[in-house]
Amino acid sequence: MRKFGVFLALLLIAFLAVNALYLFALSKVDAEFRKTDESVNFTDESFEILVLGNSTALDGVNTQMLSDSLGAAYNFSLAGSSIESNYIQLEHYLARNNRPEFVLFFLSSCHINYNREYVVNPIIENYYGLWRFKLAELPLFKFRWLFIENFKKLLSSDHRNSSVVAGQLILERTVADGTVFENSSNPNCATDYQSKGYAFLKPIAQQCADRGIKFLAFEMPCWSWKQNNCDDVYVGFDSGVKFKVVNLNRRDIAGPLLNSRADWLSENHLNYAGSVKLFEAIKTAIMQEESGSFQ
Amino acid sequence: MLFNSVEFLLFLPVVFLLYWFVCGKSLRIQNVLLLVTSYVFYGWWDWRFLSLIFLSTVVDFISGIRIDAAPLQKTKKIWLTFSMVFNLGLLGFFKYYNFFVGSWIELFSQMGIYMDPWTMNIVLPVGISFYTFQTMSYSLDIYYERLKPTTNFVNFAAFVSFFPQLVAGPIERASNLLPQIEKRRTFSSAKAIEGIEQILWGFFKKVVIADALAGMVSEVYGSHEEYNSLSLIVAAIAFSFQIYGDFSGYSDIAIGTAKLFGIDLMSNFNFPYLSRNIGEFWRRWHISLSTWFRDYVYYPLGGSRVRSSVAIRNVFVVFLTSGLWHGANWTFLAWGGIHALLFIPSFVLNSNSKYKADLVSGTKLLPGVIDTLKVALTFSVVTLAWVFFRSESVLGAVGYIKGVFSSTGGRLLVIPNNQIITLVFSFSAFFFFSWIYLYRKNEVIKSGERAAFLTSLTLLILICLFGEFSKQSFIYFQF
Repeated sequence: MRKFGVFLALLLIAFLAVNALYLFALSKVDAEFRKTDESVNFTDESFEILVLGNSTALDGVNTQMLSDSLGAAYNFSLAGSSIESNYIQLEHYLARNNRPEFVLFFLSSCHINYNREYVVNPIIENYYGLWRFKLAELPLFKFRWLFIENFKKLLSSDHRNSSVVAGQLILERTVADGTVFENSSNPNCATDYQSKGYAFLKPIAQQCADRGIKFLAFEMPCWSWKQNNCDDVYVGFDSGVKFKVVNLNRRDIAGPLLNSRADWLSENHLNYAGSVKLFEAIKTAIMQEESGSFQ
Repeated sequence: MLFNSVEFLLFLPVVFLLYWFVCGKSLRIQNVLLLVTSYVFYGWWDWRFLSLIFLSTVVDFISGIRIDAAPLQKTKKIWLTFSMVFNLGLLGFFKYYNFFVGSWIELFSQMGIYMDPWTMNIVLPVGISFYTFQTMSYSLDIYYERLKPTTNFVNFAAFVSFFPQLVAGPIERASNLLPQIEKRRTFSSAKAIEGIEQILWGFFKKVVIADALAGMVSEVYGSHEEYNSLSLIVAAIAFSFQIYGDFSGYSDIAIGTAKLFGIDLMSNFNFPYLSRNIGEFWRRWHISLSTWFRDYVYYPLGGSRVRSSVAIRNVFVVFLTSGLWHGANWTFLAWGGIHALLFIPSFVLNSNSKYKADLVSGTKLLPGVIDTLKVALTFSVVTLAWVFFRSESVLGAVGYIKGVFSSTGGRLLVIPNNQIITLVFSFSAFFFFSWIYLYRKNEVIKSGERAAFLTSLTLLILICLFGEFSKQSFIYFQF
């Protein structure tokens, strides 16, 4: 029995060591780990613009161009992030840094349902001290998708040469959008608004309103077949908090702006070239907001 | 209780510790513990059906003693018939009642005679096909004087309900398992280490291979008429690996778990997709069931030592009943019939027992071209037959196969890049470890504690990284 006990103990120790090693390796090589490590440690920073969202914003919002033209910006977005994750990041940032002028939230309702508000991104849990004592917290399990993401670096030079600039993941890879826009497949905009989960943005909008920060939300563009002709949406709550959701997924905006062959990284995700083109549309919306067109 | 559940992850170490440390000094208490924990294991799913296991146990315990004690052959036969009627009746009612009544009504309605449906909403008790076959083999072995009955009810009940193999086999023979339960067991570290390794290998096959393919297979089989030929072929091959990973994974977890309790269960799979003909496939696939049908159906019918037409009939009987054993559906019957048709040529040519060696390559490093082609051909026809097994109806299966050979368009199954990379990883590991285990089994490469340690650690890592933990049930639970 002793031999078996030693075997099990060694197996457990080795397994835990591999888990620790994996976590250490991720903190050194994974772009999102390194980015989160950087952003969680911000103190007394004075960014003018904070960008929140998920992978579509991580790839598709050009924070460097925003910094160059409108004021220092940082992209907090992470792949698979939820609104809850973004809220945790914002709260943490605002408690330790100077008040920004703008908080921009990028949704992608065309392919993600935002109703899962309480699912927190595992990387956020890791860096923001939200670990729990559970089997599923083992790094090999918790960050399993990052194994494949980082393995891609061995297979493709695009992934190897990727970098993070001002929080934006810059990946020079192209996957053509071969889909076709069909007017008839457009969603019923009024009904769709209800299902997009804009209501879950209330805590973030409230946080901004309480601190006098301008809050603006955007719908990120998707592949042609998921684009629509819906107007911008104005969201208001009983507390008086209101904000605008600028629809960048409108066919008359995304269609002429983006090249279906050159500007996409994968389905619904813009590459760097796409983010450069989208910048103008984002800038225009910010300028309009700044000039008080929606108050 | 599912093997791939948190409950089992807690249940197993608790039972293990109680078994060796609290009850280790008394065989009787150890067996009582095995019995109680086995009933808890089964009752976790639905405690009401424990009564069926208990009844089946009582009937065969009494029948076994009576068969052995009866002075006249006629009396022995009466008791055997009692056991068979009870077990087959149980199976027939819970598993086949609706099928036969439904088919009967349909047959009459086609002749213009409409009958009231008598079908009932009968829940199929998990594992009923497995434990009834196990208890029947006990009575049959006593009848054929291959075994002496046990007079200890607890031991017998522990044999019937032994939790590692209760719900999905291997279908144990009393001659193998019962003596181990009746004899004092001593702990062997080597055996327990082997057990841990086998459990992890079973989990790997279940959660990394089978469950990862389940979604893709369901998607295509669910609407096969929408997909193109290539997608249908990919999904058919995927199902071949899904069912192998699922069922052999279960068997490995069962065998490995039994080893932790000092008990050796029979082997249930022996690299079936390396078979060079259907005869060999059936010596490597679900061994405990195929040998059951061989010993208790095929041989009593005369086997191959009769006129060739009767021998062919015997083959059909075995394959059709084996198909029906899997479930009350014409698809299973068709699947069994296809295997019979595939088996007959080599049976007539007397080449069905030609391949007995485990290693296709023999003493060489790699198999020859002819052998490789034979393996590929056997795998292809087995895969084709699985289409009937997996489809909802025979017509659906025929439609699926038509789609495979059709050149008219259809949708291409889109597998996301990340899933492709995951599958490449998973299958590379699967083939690598299969190769290791095949060569280890044939003593081409040596095994030892160090190898077991490295294998276990690697499997554990792969399970964490690539496993699907959606709590998918085992396919063979429905049988």
